[in-house]
Amino acid sequence: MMLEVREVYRSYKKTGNGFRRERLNVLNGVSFSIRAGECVGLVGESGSGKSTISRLILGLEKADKGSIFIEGKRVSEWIKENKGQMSVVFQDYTSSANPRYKISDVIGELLKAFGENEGIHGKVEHLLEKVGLPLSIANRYPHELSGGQLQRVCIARAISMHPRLLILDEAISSLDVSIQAQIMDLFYKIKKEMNMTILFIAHDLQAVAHLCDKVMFLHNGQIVEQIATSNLTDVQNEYARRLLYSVIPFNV
Amino acid sequence: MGVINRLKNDRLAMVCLGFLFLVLLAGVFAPVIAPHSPIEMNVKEKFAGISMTYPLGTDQLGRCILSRLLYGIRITVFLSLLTMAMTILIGTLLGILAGLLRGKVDEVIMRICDVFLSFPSEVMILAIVGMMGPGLFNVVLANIIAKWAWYTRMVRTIVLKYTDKNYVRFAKVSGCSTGHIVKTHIIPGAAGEISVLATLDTGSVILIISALSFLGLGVQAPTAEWGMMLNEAKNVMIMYPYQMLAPGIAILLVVAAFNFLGDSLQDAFNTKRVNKMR
Repeated sequence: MMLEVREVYRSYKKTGNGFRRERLNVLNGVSFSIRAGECVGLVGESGSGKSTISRLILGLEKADKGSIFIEGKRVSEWIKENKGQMSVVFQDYTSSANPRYKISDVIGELLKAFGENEGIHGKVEHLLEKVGLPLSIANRYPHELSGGQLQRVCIARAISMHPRLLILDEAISSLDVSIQAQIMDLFYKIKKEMNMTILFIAHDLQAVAHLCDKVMFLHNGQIVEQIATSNLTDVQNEYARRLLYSVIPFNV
Repeated sequence: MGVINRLKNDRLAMVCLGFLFLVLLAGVFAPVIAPHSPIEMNVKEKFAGISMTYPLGTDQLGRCILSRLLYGIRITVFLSLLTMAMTILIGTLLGILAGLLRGKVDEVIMRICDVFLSFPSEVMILAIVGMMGPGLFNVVLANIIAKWAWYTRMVRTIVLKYTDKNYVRFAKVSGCSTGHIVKTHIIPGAAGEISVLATLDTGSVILIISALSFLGLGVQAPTAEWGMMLNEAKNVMIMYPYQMLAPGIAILLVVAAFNFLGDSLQDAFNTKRVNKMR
């Protein structure tokens, strides 16, 4: 199993309550697993806990209770042993690239950091081609790029080390609709060519259905339904059905 | 366009940099440039006017004012730079530690900072020098003690700001070392803000060192130092007011140059503002 999330709970302190110690329970015993090479979508409304799950899997936060394993090892341990093998594309592309560095340095960061010093220039050019960006962009700075271009740069950087696990954390949510379609096509191409395990977190069921093999519905901090994309119309859970029916007119 | 290129296009910054470079050069080569020894007395020539032998005249003991001014750079400017370097080093190290480690380490460092920040710096410097006695080392130490907390707090805030950026999160998730993150993302990001504050503070440290010497708490006679020169000139201010001009103008120009340079650096590091201006 590539990724295993077991009975994970996470809560945050509520702000503005004076001396009362109230907590907001965001995740209430989330469990799921993803096999190697599988592409799984995680959908849910705003505030359902999607990004919290993402941060926990990425090792940026710790769960209050429960555990997360990647290939049978705890996240921090796995990251230490598998440098560059987990990658992420964030929703906010504007803060995803260091504004002080040129695009070539942004894309080549991991290659340099992990000692692949030879032929970085060629590798960066290959990555730019792969994500459909002109080579001339390499010498530009992030603020000189459009949102779609910058997100492509982030994707190029994310796949630069050919990671085994790729988390797409609302990676298309901040883009306008036409760009979303282009980026979705790019993800589809990457999925086919690179054979990596992908967790696609989104609130857009249509996008998830387009890319993923399996969909998980997150509601009130719990996975309420997991179903293969091909059987999507067979969902049983009430929340999942409502979410599905809301997009059926768009031919999911 | 990089910071250096943006700075190159700023005329005021280049003038200030050029001026400060010349001042530093004059300080380094003071023994070669100075026409006389800064402590060589010639009582017969006291209060002499401008001449070929004494280009800026002499003081009440017949010492060459130009020579004392040039040697004074070594104390006033070099000591201020040394003080700032030490302050930045301590402040940055503690700030990075607090910002990265968080938890108890952060709490302890920040509470100590709070204590140090609750005293006005000038009063604290006077108190420390008062307790430890006058002298160069004590002046430097007092300045570092009074200022490190400002840098620690600022660097900690910067570290917290940057650790929240997605590019730092990405590096963490990918397994990059803390050293790589600090070197690649945090230090270059913080360098701008630190250099702006440091440049502005260098001006204030020059003023403090000069003020302490003026009050008799800093450098002791017969060492040539600009504040000390002002102190000596004040005794004859009514009869020979021009005695105060050379050290006074020197302090004014160097402090102004550091302040202008600080403003220009602020603009040069502010990429968004520069892009809007274009």
